[in-house]
Amino acid sequence: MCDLVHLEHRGIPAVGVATAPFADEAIEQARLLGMPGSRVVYIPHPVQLLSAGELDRRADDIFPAVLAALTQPTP
Amino acid sequence: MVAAARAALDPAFNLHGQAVTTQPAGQLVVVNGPVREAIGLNSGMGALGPGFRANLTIGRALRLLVTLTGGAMPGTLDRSTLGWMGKVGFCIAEDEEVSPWEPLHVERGFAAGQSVVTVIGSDAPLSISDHRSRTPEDLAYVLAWAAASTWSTNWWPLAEPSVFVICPEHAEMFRGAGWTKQRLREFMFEAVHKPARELRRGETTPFVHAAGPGTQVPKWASPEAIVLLVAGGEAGRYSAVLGPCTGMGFQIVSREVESRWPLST
Amino acid sequence: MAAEYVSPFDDRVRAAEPLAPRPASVAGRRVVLLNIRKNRGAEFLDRMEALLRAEGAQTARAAKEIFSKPAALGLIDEIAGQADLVVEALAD
Repeated sequence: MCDLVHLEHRGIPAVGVATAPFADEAIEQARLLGMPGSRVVYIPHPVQLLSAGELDRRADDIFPAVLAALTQPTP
Repeated sequence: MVAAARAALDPAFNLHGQAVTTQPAGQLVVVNGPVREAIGLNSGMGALGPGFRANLTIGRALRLLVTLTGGAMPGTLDRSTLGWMGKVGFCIAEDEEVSPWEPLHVERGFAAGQSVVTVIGSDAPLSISDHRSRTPEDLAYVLAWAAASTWSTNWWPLAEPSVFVICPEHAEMFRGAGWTKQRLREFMFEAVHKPARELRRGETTPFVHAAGPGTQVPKWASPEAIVLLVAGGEAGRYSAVLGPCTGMGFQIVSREVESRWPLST
Repeated sequence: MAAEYVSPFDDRVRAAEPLAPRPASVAGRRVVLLNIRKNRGAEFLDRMEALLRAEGAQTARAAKEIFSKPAALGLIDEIAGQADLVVEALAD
């Protein structure tokens, strides 16, 4: 989260990708860092033991959300 | 307490990383110097357990800073999968008077008469019974190999520190044989090696994957990853090893205790 | 001497800072893919990079020193100097 916030401060739109169980941590960290609107997208957990094909599919599935995080206007 | 907080908040300690990881990751506080006796810190019987107000107060207060002020509560920022009771609070004093060696703070460059707090990221204690070894070599072998599966069975080598708490009876065997701390550390390092082929099951390191099958792989990346403390009751041959906190890039950090009043015993 | 008690809770009110403005599309934009250095992250970003290129983005790769600490500010500055957009992954 720190990295995303630092980049946004520098005018660089950023998106983080994390697995779903870390959502509440990411939301709380974003709030503590003063940027609750920071954009993080979530994929199902776990990922460590996925095959290469399965990991690619996780990336494919989340890609529309990544694009949206990088291009949708901020409120 | 102030010294412990300052040490833990040193960026080199990476308290944030330790506070939010899925690892167990407690913060061990080791106290050396005259302050131990002045405030009633226990380094004897039950050194790693309950029963002593000063130990629990300091350890608990540090963890309350992490949880209440820092916000690292389990379920929000603290993602530790299992945690352990050291995350309630974990402060020990070293028994410098019984130890045959220079205490931790002197090893780390302080004068013996200084009161110093040292913080180390650590996992839960693993008890090591040895009631029958008759030589320092055998005892050192038993102590070292007890740590072989700490962190993960085949994740060798470990660069991060493992802390051994050596009980007085065990320490006495090394004293009697004239072993320095460094000799013990180097013996333990050398004792725990396995050929890479025996480590290639389940989780293992890139080092093991890349090594030739017969390459001898050490448990620790260097003898300096082995931290040695002396504490515990005068009777009973149980030492312990605290597994490491890994991937945090943390350094062990020490701070002198600053007091505004004379320490009296 | 009367003791002064201070709340241990961090009750500071934080004003919400705005995000950087977004472009309409990633096409023609330079996207830096920042690896936090956890296992499988590089592969995930390989796929993400291919998908972004298919959308017309230019891409570059970067990596933090270690996953458990924020990226060094020097690295952030370096990325900010070359990137229009950043994707950081993969936290698990």
